[in-house]
Amino acid sequence: MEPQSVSYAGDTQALMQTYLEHLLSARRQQAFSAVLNALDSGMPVTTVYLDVIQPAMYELGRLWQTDAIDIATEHYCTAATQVLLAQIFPMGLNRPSKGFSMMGSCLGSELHELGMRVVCDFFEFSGWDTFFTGAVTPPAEIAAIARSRKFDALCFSASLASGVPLIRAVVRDIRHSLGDATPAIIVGGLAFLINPQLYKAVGADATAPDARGAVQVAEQLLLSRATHV
Amino acid sequence: MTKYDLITSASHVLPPSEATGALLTERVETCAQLLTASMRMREDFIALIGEHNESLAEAKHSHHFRYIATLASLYDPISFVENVIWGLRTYMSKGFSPLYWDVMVPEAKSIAVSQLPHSAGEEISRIYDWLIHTMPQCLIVSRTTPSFFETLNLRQEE
Repeated sequence: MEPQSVSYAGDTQALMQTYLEHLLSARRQQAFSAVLNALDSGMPVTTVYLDVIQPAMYELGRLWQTDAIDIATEHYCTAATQVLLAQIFPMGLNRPSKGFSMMGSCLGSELHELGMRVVCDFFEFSGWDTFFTGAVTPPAEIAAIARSRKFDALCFSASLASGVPLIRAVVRDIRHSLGDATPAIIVGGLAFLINPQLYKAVGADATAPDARGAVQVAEQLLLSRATHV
Repeated sequence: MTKYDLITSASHVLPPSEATGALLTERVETCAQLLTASMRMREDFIALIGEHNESLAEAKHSHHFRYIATLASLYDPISFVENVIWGLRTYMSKGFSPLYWDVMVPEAKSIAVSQLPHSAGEEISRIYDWLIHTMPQCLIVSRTTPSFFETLNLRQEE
């Protein structure tokens, strides 16, 4: 386990700003170098994910909202960040397999896949196998995949409110189809951050505020199920 | 009035049925096209949405009906108010006039009701009536209070 008590707060805030400034100036290599140098200096990869990249993406959204940047710039920065995450992801793979598996999906017209990608990476960091289906996953396919692959957990993400009823429909379908064999279902994303109680309305087992929390919640749910058998 | 007061007020709206949300979902693009056409006929259209924002307004009308259909399908007053505040702050930052909503919301209500069966139209009207009635307060709150989405990094630091 990484020491939770170690504080990188100052470093991460400065690194987040440096990373974003480079990207907003279309200096992708310098942005990546800043992060890679921090990793070389000992910053844990999970800290980069949650305390550098995540706030950078939140700030990016705010800059678009306030008309400080255009949508093309927002897309460029997000795409660049996807490349960076693919580069640093293997650095977090140092745990033995737990033998668990999860599927992470962004359903329907949901295009915001970065958050679920981070969630899947954190499950992998914790020794899970993951099945990340990315953005715009056809909802009709989900129950069939869940049935055939026998996951221990399913994670669904909604950034926009319009994704929430779709998640409810898919969760109903899965529970109807799999009954008692339904995996643990965890939902998240901005739509559930606004009102965490919404997870109940869609029939999920839990929600979590971030990727680390999603792994913790999933493992608690599995432990709870094991002790109730 | 605060954002909390708006959420409390919105919690008194009788939620529409999931079936009404499904009906409106089927009519989203039709409603959006009708709203755009209606708004474009106004002489003050550009003044309401700002220069060079025609495409943004067209997309916004589609987002509007999709969001109302979502809200009808799964009504949540917290999400409702946060999304209203976000929408006001976002589109005003891109040049929309505060007067735009005084025109758009009643017109959108009229179009949605015209496209739905009578009972579903009545259910949707409850959401629109709340919006029309509280829009002045929503505008005031939006000038002074950031939406949830703008405070994500502040929340992370807590």
